[in-house]
Amino acid sequence: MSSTQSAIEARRIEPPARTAGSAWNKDDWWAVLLGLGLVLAAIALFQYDSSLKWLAVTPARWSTFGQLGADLANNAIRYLAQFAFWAVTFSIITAALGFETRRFLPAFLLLYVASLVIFAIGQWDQANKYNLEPPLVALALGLAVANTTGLPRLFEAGFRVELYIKTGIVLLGATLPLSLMVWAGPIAILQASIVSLATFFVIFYAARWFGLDKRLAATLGVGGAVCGVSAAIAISGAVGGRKGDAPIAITTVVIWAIVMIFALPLVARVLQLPTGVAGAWIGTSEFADAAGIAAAQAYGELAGHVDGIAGTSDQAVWAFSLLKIVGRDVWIGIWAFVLAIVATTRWEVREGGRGTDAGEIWRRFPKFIIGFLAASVLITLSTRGLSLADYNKVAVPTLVNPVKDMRSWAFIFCFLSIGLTTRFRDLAEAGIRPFLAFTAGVVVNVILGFVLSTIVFASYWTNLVR
Amino acid sequence: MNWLARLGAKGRPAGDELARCGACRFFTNDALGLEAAIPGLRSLGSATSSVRSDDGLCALHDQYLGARRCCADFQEREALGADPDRG
Repeated sequence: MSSTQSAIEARRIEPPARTAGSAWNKDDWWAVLLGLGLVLAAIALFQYDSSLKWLAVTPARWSTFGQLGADLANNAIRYLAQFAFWAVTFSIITAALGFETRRFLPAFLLLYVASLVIFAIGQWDQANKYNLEPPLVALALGLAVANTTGLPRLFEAGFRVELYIKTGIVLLGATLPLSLMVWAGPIAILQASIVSLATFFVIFYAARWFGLDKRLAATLGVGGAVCGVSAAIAISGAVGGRKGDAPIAITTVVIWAIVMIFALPLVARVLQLPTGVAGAWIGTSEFADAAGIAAAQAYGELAGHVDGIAGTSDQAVWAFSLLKIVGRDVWIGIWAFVLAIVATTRWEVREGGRGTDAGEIWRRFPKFIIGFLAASVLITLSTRGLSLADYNKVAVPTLVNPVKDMRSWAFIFCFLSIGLTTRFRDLAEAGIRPFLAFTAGVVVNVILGFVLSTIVFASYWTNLVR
Repeated sequence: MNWLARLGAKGRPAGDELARCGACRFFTNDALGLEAAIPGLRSLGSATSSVRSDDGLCALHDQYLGARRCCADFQEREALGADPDRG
């Protein structure tokens, strides 16, 4: 036995009493709890001929400030109740995640008021004419504030991008029919897998060609291929990257993800892509869930308001979800597991050993996807006895739409938080070689995603209907 | 043990009871600390995400790695500041 092995074997201790791996320290399970709780409450109210819509208040369409003011005044108590609901639930969750409630609450109040303003702007009947889609307005406003005057650091406790996006995605599951997931899910997995593998290998080998370390190359590759910042942090940990690798990958991903939020809907609009096709393209070629939802939702909202754009807003978000969440995100644990084995047996053979096992796949599995699928199953089961006409007449306004409205709030919290937490001057210096390697993958990803979405599988994404 | 578990177990240095990075004095994986240490992490992600698992930073090797790893430089965290007379 080597001295190294002896040293390791000699130190048998119990695992640490408190690890960061506890379910209650993770925003995924909290998002599942909150999202499914809302869905179950909506279903229970629906069963008793009531509805969640009193709480799920949103600004109505308006054309004059007088109309807007009257609507807000008439529903003031509902907005207060909704703010209280979100504030209490998110306070409990963020406290469990380690944030101080006295810091969270003022930040969340600011976030809620700003979100209400953005929501109201989006409901202006001229909003589409001036490209004032709420996701893009929220992002642009947040980015402008964060990169000019900025906000005090203590407000950051309220800007929890991942918590809000995961809660929104669980609620999104309630509006995505299970039958649609079964019908288009395999195609989504096929399309996403083709693009993910191509993107990974292009970035990985480009990075190696530029002389970058294999672990950084893998971190960049999966960051581009799967789920952006989340993938970068997962893979950097799995392969045991150098301390600076994750920040480099994150900087590169954030820059490209922000660019794509604005670029993909813009190009889709110029090409007048149907909403389902554009959603599929965004789901294949955007790098982060939050960024992709912003782009897909912004584009979907053009349907019915801009001439030449066919489809519905739902189709954009459904196609995006199928490609990004079902097609790409679910595989992150397997990417991490395989690359951890490769890294510790071929790239970095040293005394540290592998430190991984098949449990890695589950430990890194994005648990909010379970909530997303469960929400779809719950709504499908609770409405299974209804004809399509009854579903549209009864279930949509009293069950589905209130859940959708709560989802819209969660997404706006998220989009504004992305902007407010993205300070370009604070990002790590990525260097030109990682940026170029990643950009090579972006080019392949965007072109391949476009071809598959608009030509090869276009019939699927154009015909996404309940 | 299924084929996946066998694949994962293949080549592991020893059992779960080994001293792991998660218990080492050089290792930190506090979520809020990581978000402060890794620029951009909270912008489109978080350190409280499932995908991060229990990874953290090793101050000795300047690495970001899983808490289940282990190495010859392990020093038990609880040993820090312990009363030397306690044995």
